[in-house]
Amino acid sequence: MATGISVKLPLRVTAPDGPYGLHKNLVGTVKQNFKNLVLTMPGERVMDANFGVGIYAVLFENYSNDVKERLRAKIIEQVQAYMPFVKIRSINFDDSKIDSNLLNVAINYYISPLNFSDVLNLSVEGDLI
Amino acid sequence: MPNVKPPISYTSRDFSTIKDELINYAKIYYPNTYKDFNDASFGAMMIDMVAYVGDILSFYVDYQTNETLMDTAIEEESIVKIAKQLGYKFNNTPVATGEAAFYVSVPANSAGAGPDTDLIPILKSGTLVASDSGAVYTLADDIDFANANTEIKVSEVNTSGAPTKYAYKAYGTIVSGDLVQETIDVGTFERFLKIKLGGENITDVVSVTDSDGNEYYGVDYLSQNTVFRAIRNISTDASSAPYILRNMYVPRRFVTEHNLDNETHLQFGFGSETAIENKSFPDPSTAALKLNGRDFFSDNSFDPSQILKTEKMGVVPVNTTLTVSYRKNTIEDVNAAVNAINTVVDSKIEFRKSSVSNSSALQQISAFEVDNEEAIVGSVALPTAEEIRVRAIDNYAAQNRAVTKQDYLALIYRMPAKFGGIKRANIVQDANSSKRNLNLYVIAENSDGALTTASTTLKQNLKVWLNKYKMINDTIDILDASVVNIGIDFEIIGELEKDFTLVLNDAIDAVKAKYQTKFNLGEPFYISDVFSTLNDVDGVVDTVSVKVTRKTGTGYSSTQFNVDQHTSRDGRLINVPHNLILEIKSPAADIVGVIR
Repeated sequence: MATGISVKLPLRVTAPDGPYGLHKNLVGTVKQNFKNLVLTMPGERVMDANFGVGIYAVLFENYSNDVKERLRAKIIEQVQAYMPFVKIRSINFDDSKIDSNLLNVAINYYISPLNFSDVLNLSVEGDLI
Repeated sequence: MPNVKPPISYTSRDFSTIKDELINYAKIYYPNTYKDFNDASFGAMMIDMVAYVGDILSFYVDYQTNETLMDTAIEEESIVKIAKQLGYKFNNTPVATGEAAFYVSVPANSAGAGPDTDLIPILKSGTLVASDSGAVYTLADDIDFANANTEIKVSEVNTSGAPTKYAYKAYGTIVSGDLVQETIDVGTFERFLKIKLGGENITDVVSVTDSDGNEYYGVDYLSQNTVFRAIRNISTDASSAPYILRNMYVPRRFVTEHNLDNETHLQFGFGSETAIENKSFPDPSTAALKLNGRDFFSDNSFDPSQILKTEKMGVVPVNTTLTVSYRKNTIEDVNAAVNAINTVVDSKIEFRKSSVSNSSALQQISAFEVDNEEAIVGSVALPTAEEIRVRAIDNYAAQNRAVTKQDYLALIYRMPAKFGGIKRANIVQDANSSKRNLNLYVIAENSDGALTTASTTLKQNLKVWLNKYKMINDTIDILDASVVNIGIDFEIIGELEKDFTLVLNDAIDAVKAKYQTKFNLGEPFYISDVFSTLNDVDGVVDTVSVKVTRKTGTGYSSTQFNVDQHTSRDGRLINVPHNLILEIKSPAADIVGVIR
């Protein structure tokens, strides 16, 4: 019988696990959950309209430092609410391709119970919406 | 190994409990496959979606179940449908009725000794009159001006003082609504044919005839094959009983259905012309259950379907044209104040002697005039969903017999709208009567929606209506209830940071909303309700005082009522005698408050 912690995205048939692969360790699980949190738009999740950072929405605003600060604050707020065991160390925006509706974000975070640091790199494209 | 099914908690019906159950289920049965229950996980999202679907399904199950029961139904349409099942006759169109005086001038006879009796007219039912506001009313019954009750006065004299014209005054019952005729083509045979009438705001279907002249009669239920018919009394006692009531067999019949959209339908049965040749009721010996193909029987049960075989709920019209006459309201508010009805729109006149030419006679008599000496009142505000619910339940419990107080009230409110509408009623046993006399107090509503004394015709109709259902040894006095107009003065303390004007307006609106529905006869006034209503208003810290006063003066009732004497010792309620009804006549002026 397959063993694991949670479903691995994207869903793929794997030899040991069957119809879909499973995360075998907590680090990968936390990283995937963190990605879900950042990419989900507020209102998208059923019965919890507050869930999600909604990073895509930024791509349709006039990009400025103010927008970056709001995004940073929103990520920290969402992590505190839904993944309190994660501490944000830094959030870096690479906005060199913002005119092409492409934003690269690197979030450096620390998982307290595991005493483990990692970086979540996201490339967010406007035409994804 | 025994096949043990995992337990399912059927009491988990909302989102959070279903979600909790699913998480517990996963923890117990998939401990090695799934361990991530963080809100941000993919699995949590799937669990949320399943719980959401479960919540929605539970909601609809609850909703549909609630809507099938009278006690819990919320939608007005559901309440009306259930009420119909319980036998409550629903009509969404208000009707007002009352008595109007009709005047006509008749010339003196050739001898100069009294009026020319050949020219005394009969004003036929269907004559139309109108009020100042444009509401049209129809004369319900013929008025024979030769009747002994007619008032006659000399209206014109010649130079020598001899009368040349006589003025006649007679009363007739008028009902709100214009009489409209509609023709409907009917095709081939259709079981339980249902026809929608073109008009809206239809108060009453007066007649239905087909192209062969056959008349179809309106009944309460299609299984009812007899009706009472009023036939004009031409014998000497006509003045005391103008109509004779006859029981009549009606194979051609229909029921009228009104819905919330102000639409009216006629529903027929599924019998054919040949059914009329059959007996009106089957031989009871043939109504026993006969089971073919069996050489045994358990019981000769009474088979209800045998009864239906005779007329199949009445004859349905086939390949013909129906002419439907119905009465429909021309405006929303059909009540009329005293002297408001003053125009004869269309008069239908007949003369007693067939030898008298209508055209020449009409030239000799004057045009008809009309006036209403008492208000024409009926229902103004249609029953709310809650009122329909209560009336339907009472109506069902009454079972067409008036035994208890509730039965009487149900029957009073169920009186067909064409006879007028009683707004509030109360029935009590007369303590001073040695017999079982009952005192019935009634009150109607005027065109402004204020309580007013019920007209004589309305009370007369109510008397006839109750006679049909009351117990044979019950005697009833129908009396006018008295109205006590009250006002409410209150003082409240507002929150400092709030706009006092807005808070005071909200407080007054809250009290107005609380007393929007009219009181019942004898219903006490709970002063404590005003306190709690005011305290619930946003921005109100506390209610300092509430004072209820009797309003007097122009426009208000003159009924004597001492509020202080009827207030309970603890000051929480005002007791009201069973023949009185409280009314806040003009909420805008009668509900006053101060804020500090």
